[in-house]
Amino acid sequence: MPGRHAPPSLGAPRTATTTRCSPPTLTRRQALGLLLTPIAAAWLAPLAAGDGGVGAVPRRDLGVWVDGWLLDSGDL
Amino acid sequence: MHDDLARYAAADPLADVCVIGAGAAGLSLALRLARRGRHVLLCEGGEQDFTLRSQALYEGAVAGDPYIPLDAARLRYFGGSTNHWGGMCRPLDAYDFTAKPADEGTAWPIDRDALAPYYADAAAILGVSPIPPDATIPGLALKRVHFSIGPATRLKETCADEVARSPQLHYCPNANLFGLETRDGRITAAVFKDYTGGEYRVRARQFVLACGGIENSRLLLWCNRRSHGQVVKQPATLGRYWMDHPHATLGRAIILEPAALGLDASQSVFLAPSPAMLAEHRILNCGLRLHRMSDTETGELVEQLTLAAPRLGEWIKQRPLAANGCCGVVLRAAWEQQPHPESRVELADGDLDALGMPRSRLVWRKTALDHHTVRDCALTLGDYLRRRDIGRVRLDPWLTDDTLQFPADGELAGRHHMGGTRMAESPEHGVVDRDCRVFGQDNLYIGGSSVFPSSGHANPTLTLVQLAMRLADHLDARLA
Ligand SMILES: Cc1cc2nc3c(=O)[nH]c(=O)nc-3n(C[C@H](O)[C@H](O)[C@H](O)COP(=O)(O)OP(=O)(O)OC[C@H]3O[C@@H](n4cnc5c(N)ncnc54)[C@H](O)[C@@H]3O)c2cc1C
Repeated sequence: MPGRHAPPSLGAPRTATTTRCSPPTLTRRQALGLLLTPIAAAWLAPLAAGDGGVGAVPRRDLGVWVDGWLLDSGDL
Repeated sequence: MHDDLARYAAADPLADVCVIGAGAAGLSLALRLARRGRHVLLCEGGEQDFTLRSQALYEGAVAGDPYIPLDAARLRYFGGSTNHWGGMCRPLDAYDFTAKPADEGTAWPIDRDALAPYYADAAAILGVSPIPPDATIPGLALKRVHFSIGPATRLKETCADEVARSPQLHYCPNANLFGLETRDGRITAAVFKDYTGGEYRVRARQFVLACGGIENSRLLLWCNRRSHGQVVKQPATLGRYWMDHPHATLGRAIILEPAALGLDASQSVFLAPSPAMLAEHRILNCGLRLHRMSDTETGELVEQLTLAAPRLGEWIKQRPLAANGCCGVVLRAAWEQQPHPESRVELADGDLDALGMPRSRLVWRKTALDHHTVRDCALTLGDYLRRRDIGRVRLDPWLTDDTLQFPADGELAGRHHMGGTRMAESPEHGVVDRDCRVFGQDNLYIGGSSVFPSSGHANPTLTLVQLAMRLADHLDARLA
């Protein structure tokens, strides 16, 4: 996520921290049917690589953020 | 034996070693040398017990990231900060001495094997109990690690008798280092002040500065200024690369299967990244701490979970907590700070202490890598708990918000003062060499964690006492 780190003079890490958390797609939000807080919206993303949307990701690989909780879609 | 600095200085003997500061480093070093028959002068700025006039010399300014007031983060009397330390001990990991992929500036010029011969003696003086080996947890890149957890040994009590009885050791309280005189790359005398205006010069073959992880920098900066740059001739890094272990609460977690993490047997569990995780995730070292909550607090946390995850919450609530062993934990961390030149101790010009020395000004700076390290470890744990259905974490907003931030209150740091006179291969990169000798001085050494080039996540005192004992052996060999 650009902008999350301090200026380079403070030694930004070489690998971005959030590559696993891409922005949510509308499909996924709709599929989960959640009313999301701003934080949850920004963080709603599968944690697995090769994410192709809810249908394409094995259920246990789908992590979602709701109000700071890192949850499994089956928890909801 | 107890002595008086005025009397000692008037007799003008030549000590083998003058050790300045009677804390963990100074006491371990002075006693080890005295046992070998060396004539040791141990100069302590404070007195036998806490006094305001001594403690006030530790007041200073804090700039940069929020930090604990400097006079509350350490103690200035016989025994030093071990008079209020917590006694948590663990050696640094072997890979803490190496160049870590996330920042190669973590490398030490020595490896852990160089300290290994001093482990048993350091553990004995600090009362460290046996520490079980690290253990892997299937499916988790973090491993289970252990500490020796108190009771905290008070060196003031455990060392007092030997200090009083040793005929070789001259212990002088109220002896505040104020200057170092140098000629041709040797320290010729140390200058001390007492609280009544007295000023005394003492001579020794070797000098060791062991005044703690902030004061070592302050005193060297001041002595260097007084000597017009002759004490530390290449001072580019002096006071810099200062570190503590940032401490923070990361969030809470519901643990559905405490046994998977070893929580069934203990109230707290410690986790840390494996070397492979450090490399793959490009992070520094980090100690995650899971502290068990009471059943009441766990119940409240389950209610919060139910709001976010009704299905899981209801499922948990159907099972009596005590029966299924489910428990809530507070998730905390104490982690390795990236060594960075902008994080530093300076002289606060214009603000003099009662003896006329500029006070310390601490500019503590954490970096994006520090944030990345702790966040990555929290996410790795959270992801593991969820995937294996062992639990669920809830992270605090400072970790989930899309900005680089750290908590501005709470514990903040471990009061583990490290860096400032870092050990390096050359004077361009540090203040002391691999023997803890100040570059450019033949007989001036530094004792304490101010020589750490990097900090790992383990509490520092065990390592700094190992280093002090190694230094004692080095000095003993030089004096032979
Ligand atoms: C609240 C707290 C809890 C802690 N808990 C832990 C823990 O659980 N585990 C751990 O490993 N570490 C812990 N620490 C850190 C630990 O206390 C230090 O690492 C350790 O005491 C450092 O030893 P030292 O000899 O370098 O410095 P100190 O112990 O601070 O000793 C320095 C000595 O130098 C003297 N001195 C200062 N200035 C002068 C001067 N100008 N002239 C002469 N003498 C001077 C001081 O009076 C003092 O006696 C804790 C610290 C604090 C504050």
